[in-house]
Amino acid sequence: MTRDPRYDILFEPIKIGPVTAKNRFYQVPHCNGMGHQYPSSMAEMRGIKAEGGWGVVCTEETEISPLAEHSPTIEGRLWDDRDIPVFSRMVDKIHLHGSLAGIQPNFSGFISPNNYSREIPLAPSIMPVDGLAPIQARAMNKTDIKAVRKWYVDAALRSKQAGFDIIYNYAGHDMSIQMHFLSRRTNQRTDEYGGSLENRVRLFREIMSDIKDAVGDSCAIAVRFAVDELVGSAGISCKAEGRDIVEMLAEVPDLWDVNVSDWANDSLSSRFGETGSQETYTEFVKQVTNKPVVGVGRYTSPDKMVSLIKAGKLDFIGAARPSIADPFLPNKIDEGRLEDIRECIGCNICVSGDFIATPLRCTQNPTMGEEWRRGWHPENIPKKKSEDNILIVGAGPAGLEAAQALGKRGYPVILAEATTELGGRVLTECRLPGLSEWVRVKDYREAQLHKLPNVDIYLDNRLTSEQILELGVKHVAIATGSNWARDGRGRNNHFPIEGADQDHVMTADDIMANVAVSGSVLIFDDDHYYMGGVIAEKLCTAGHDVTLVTPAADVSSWTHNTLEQTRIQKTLLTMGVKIIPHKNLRRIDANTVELACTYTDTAETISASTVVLVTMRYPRGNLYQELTENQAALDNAGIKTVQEIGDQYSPGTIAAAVWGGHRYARELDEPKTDAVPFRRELPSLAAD
Amino acid sequence: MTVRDSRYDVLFEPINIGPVTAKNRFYQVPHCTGMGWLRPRMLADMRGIKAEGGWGVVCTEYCSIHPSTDDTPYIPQSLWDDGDVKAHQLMTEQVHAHGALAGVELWAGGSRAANLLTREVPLDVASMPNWSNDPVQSRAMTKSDIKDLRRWHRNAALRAKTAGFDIVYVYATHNYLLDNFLNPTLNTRTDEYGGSQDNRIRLIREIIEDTKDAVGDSCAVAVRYTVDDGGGPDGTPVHSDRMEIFEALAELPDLWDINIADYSLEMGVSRFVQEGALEPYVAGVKAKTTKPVVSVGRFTSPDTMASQIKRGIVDIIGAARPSIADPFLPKKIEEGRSEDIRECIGCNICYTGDSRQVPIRCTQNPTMGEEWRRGWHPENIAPKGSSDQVLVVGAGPTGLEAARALGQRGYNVILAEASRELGGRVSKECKLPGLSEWARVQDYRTRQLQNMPNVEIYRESELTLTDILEVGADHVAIATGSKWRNDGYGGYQTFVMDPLPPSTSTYTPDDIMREQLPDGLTIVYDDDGFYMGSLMAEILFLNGNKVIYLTPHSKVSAWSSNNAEQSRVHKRLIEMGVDIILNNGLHSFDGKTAQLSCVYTSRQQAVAASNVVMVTCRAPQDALYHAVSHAIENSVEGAPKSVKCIGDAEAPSIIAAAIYAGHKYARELDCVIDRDNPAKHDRIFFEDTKPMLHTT
Repeated sequence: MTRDPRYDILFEPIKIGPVTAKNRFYQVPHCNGMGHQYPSSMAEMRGIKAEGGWGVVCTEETEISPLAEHSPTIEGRLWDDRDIPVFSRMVDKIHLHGSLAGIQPNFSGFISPNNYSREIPLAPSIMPVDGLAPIQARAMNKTDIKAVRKWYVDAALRSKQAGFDIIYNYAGHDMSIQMHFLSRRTNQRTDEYGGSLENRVRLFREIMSDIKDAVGDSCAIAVRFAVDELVGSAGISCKAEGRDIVEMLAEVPDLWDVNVSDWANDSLSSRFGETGSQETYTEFVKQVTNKPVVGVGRYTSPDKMVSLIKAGKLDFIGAARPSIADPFLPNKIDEGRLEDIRECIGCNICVSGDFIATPLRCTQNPTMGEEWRRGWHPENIPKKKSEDNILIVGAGPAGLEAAQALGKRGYPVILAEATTELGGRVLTECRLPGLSEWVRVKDYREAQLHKLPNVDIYLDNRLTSEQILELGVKHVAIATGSNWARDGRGRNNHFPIEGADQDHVMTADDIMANVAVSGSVLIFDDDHYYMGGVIAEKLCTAGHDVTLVTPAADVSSWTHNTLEQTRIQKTLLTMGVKIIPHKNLRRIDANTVELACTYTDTAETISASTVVLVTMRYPRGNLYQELTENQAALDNAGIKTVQEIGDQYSPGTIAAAVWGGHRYARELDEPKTDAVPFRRELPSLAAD
Repeated sequence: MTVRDSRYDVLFEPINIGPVTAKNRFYQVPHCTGMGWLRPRMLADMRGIKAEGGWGVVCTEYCSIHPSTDDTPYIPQSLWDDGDVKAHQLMTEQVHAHGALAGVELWAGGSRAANLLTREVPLDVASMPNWSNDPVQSRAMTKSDIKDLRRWHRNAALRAKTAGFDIVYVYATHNYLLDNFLNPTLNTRTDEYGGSQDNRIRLIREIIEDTKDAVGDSCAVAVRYTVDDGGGPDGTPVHSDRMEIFEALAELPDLWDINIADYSLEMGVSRFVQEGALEPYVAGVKAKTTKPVVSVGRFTSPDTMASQIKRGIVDIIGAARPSIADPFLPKKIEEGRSEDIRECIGCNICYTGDSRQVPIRCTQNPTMGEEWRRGWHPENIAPKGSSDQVLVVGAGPTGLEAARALGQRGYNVILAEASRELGGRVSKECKLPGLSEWARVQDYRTRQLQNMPNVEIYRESELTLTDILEVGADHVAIATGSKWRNDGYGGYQTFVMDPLPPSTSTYTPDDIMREQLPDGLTIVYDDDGFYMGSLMAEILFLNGNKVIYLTPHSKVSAWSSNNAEQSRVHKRLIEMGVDIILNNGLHSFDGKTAQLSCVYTSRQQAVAASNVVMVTCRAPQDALYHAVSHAIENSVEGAPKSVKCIGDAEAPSIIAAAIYAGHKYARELDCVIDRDNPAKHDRIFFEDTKPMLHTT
C-alpha cells in the first residue's frame, strides 16, 4: 500500500539548526518509569519508536546532578561520564532508523526533595519542596547559579558525546529551575535574577547561551516552554508573560517545543480533555518565531495533523501518548494503513508508571515496556508453533487481544461471544461520562480481526462446558470477564457487608446496565480507581441526589497516578455530589446505612434509598472449573490446555486484561518454566 | 577500656539456633531499608557494620522468592534466580567477617504485593483487592499454584544457602500470603488448605518442612509469626486461635521470631508507644516451645534487655530501630560504655526510607545509609586535617552534632549558644505531648561533649558579628536554626496572606512552645503536613481551648503516613473532639472570621474563630551568616577563613536532616569534596547480556 498524497506534508524533512529531521513526527520527551533503573528496557523502547518512523525520538527528563534527583521517581540520569553508555545505546538504536535523538537535561530544583542524595534542594527563593516532604529548599546564591549553569554545560557535553542531535533547555511543567526562575510564583529574588521579566529570564537565557556555545556547532538547541501555567495572572500566561518570553527569545533556540503547565494540564486524560486542547494557548508561537515549532495534543488522526501544519499552527506533530499506544503510527500513515493505527484512548495509565516508579504500560499497546525484557515487538509476533486451534470464550479486551494476536501468529481461532457485540467491559464503560474514547480498544482489535481469515467470530453464542468439549479445539482460553461484587467485600470489608442482599442495593454493573434507580443514592467506593467517581457523575447527571462514601481520604484516590484526581473531585463537588471520606460502610438497612470512621470506628447512620457498591470484582461464571474438574472429558475431547485470561483470571485494569490476552497468545506452545520470565536489570557489583 | 557489668552477662551467652550458634543475644531482626535489590553495595556495608558493632545475628530485609511476589515500587531483596546470589554474598561475607550469623527473610506477599514490575497476577488464599489500593486483584491459588509456591520457596531457600545465609526464614505474619492462609476471615477455601485449623496450618507446615528438608542440615529455619489478633477494647491482647496454632507448630522450626498483629503498635512511634510494648503479647510463648524465641520492643536499655531474658519472656533480644540508631549498641554494653549508646528516639524517620523507596536514614545516627557511599563509620571519624579552630554558633541538633564530631576529630571547638539550654528545637519539641524521648538527641551529644576537653561550650552567649570577629576562629559554622512563619506562606499557599491576620490573633508553634497560648476558639492551620500541626491541636486541647484543625491536605498530618503514625494521630484528634476541616486553605482571617477556600473548587466558607496558629513553613535564621560572609568578602580583620550555614539555618527540615548537616560539616572540614559527584552509588549493570554474567 502507499501513502495518501494528502499526508505527504507530514513526511517532509525539516531542518532544526544544524540537524535535519526526516519527517514531522516528533516524540517529545516523556517519562516512562524506566530511566536509570531499567536502562536497557528504556533504550530498546525508544529504538522501536524510531523503527516505527518517528523522525525525532527524545529521552525523558534527565537528571544532571545529585543535587536535584527524583528518587523514588525514575527518570534519566546523567550525573557523570559513567552514565554516558546508557544513552549512547539509546542514540545508536535511534540513529539506526535514520531518526534524530533528543535529550532533556533537567535540574529540577524544589521539585526534588533529594530523598536519595540528601542534598539540600535549591530554588530561586526559599520555599517548601513540592509535595509534602518535610524539607525546604534554600535560595540559590550566585555560586549555586554558576554551579547549575556548569552542570547544564557538562550535561550538554556528555549528551553530545553520547551522540544526541537535539539538546533541550527545559522550562515546562513547573518542573525545572529555569521555569522556577521564570515564574513570579516561585521567584521572589531581588537581585538581577528576580523582579522584572528581563531579570527572571536571565538564567534561562544564560543556560541557552552556555549550551549553544558548548555544543551548538553540531547539536540543535531546543526549548521546551510552558506558555501558560493556567493560574491566571499569578503565573505565566500565553496572553502576557508567556508570549513576552517567546518574543524575547524568538530566534535564539533552534526549535520551540511548547505546551501548557503543569503536567496535569498538559497530559489531560480523554475524560477531561479533547485532542488538541492546548492549541488555543500555543498557536501564537509560530507567529512570533521563524524557528520550527512542536506542540502536542494527543493527535492520532493524520488529517488533523495535516490541518495543524497547513494552518500554520505547528511545524512538527509532537506526541508522547500516541507514540506509546502506537510506536508505528508514522509508518502506518506512510504505508497507507490508517486502520492499523492503535489510537491512544487517553486513559493515562502510562502516566502511572512514573508515579509508581515502575516501567510504563499502555492499555492499547501491551508490548510497551516489554520490548527488551521479553523481546515483544509491537508489530511482529512469532509464527505459530503447531497446527493447534484455539477457542476463546469471551470477546472483551482480553479475548479480543488474544484472538487478534493468535490470529497474527497464524493459529486457527474461534472467538465466541455471549452477547451480540464485541468489546465486553470496554463497550459498557465507554458509555460512561467522558470515557467514549475507550471504545478504541475494541475498534482497533475488531478492525484487525476482520483482516484475519483464520479467526472465526461467533456473536450471541453463550457456550456451555458441554458445547466446548464438542468443538474439537486443542486449547481453550476463558475470557469471560468479571462482575462487581454484590456482597460488598473489598479492601475494608473482608466479610460481606450486612444487608447487601437487599433489592435496593446495586453494583456498578447495574448502573452501567441502566437499571432503574430511585431516590437518594449512596455510592460506597472501596475500589478507589475511576469507577466510583464516574458512577457518581452518571447518577448525579441523571438528577439523583448522590452521596459518595469512601474509606480513602479522597475520591478515586488511585487516580492521583493518572493525573485525574483533582479534576474528578472538583467535578463531583461542583455537580453537588456529597463526599464523605474516611468512612467504611458497615451495614445497609431499608432506608439508612451505618457508616464507621476508619480511624475511630465510631458509627454514624445516614439515609439512603439506593446503595451502589463499587468494591471489588469476582471472575464471572464457572466454565473453567467445570472444564478442569473433569480431566478425562478434556482428554477425550482432545483439549490440551484450558486457561483463564484477563478479568476472568484476576480482575484488574483494562490494560492488564489486554496484556493478559496478549501474553496468552505469545506464550502458547511455549514450555512452562520456573525461570524469571523476562530479562532482568540488576545492579552492577563491580568495584566502583 | 571499661569492662562489662556482670548483670549483662546473660546478654552475651551464646545460643544454639538449630545447626548454628549465635555468639550472643543481640539479634537484628529483618527490617526494610529502602536499599534491597537495587542498592546491594550500600546494603552490604550497612549490615556489615552492624555485625562489627556486635550484633550476633544480622538479617536482611524481606526477600522476594519469585516474580509472582513483587513489591515494586518498594525495594525488598530478591532471590528470583542465581543472578541474585552474588549480591547477597556481599552482605553475608561482611557479616561473617565479624563472627555474626546472617539471616534472610523469604517473602511471598500475596495481596499486599501488586506485582507492578513483573505484571504477574498476585496469588493469595482467595481473590482479594490489592491492599495498597493499586487497581489489581489477587486470585485464589489453585492446588497447582500451591505446588509451585512450595517449589519456589524451596528454590529460594537453596539459593539463600548458596549465598551464605545461616538462618532462613519462613515469613508467616504481617498479612502476607502465609499469614492469610492462617486467617479464618480471609481463608474461605473449601479444600484441604482451608476451613479447619489443621487445614489452615497445612501450607505453613509444609513450607517449614520443605525448608528444613532443603537447607536444614546447615541452616537454621526461623519462623516469623504473630500470636495475637490485635488488641481488645481494653488494650489487652486477643489471641483467638493464634496461640493454638503456635502450639501445633511449636517444635517445628529452629527459632521463633514473634511480632504482633497491630503494625502501628509493633512499629509504634515513641509518641504513642514505649519500650517493651510487645511484652503482653509475647509473654507466654516461651512456655509453649523449647526453641529459642526472639522478639522486639525498641529495647535500648541493657537492664530491660537482661530482664526480658531473665524473666523468660524471650531468649534473644530482637531489634530493628535500636540497631539503626546505634549499630554498636552490643559492643558498647560489652565494653561497659552504656553512656555512649545513641538511643533510638522512636521518631520512625527510618521507616520513611521504605515508604519513600529511598535509603533509610536515622535521626540519631547520621551515618546510617552513608557507610558505603560516603565511607562514613558510625564510631570512627578521620582525625583533624589542620590545627584550625572552629566556632559553632548555635547548640541545636546541628550545632551539637557538628561540635561533637569535630571534637571527635580533634579540632579545637567553641560552641556558643544564645540560650541557657543546649538542644535548640529539640529541647523545646521534646516537651510537646508524647515527644519526651526526643530529648535523647541532645542527651547523647551533651554527654559526649562533656568528655571532650577540646570543646568549650558557652551558654547564654548570643553572638554578634563583632563577637565573632573578636573570637577570631578559623572557621565559623552558623547553626542558628529557624523560626515558624506567621504570614501564611507555605507549600500549598506559596504567597503571603494579604491582608495579614491581626498579629494579636496570630500564633506560631514557636509561641506555643514558649507557652504563649491563645484564649478561646483557635484554628490550627496545618500547611506543613508532618507532626507539628497535630501537636499544636493537641496542646491547645489540653489547655482547654476549643480547636479547629484546618489543612489543605486530605488527612491530618498527611506526610506521617510515611512513618506509620498517621492513623494514630488522626484518631487522637477525632477522639479529643477537635473539629477537623480537610481539603481547605486559609484564605483570610480578621480575628473573628476565617474564610476557608476549598482546594478543589475554590469555594469559600466562613468559620468563626478568635485565633490562628500558623503551621506552614519556617524562615531560616541566617542573618549572622550573611554578615560573616560579607566580612570575609571584605577581608575585615578577624574574619574567618570560612563560614558555613548549616542545618535549619541553611534550609529548615527534619531533625534528622539537621543532625546530618552538622555531621557532614564536621566530616568535610579540611577535606576536598567533589560537589559534582559527592558519593558513590549503585548503578544498574549495563550490558546486553543476562545478569548472571555480572562482573565482580
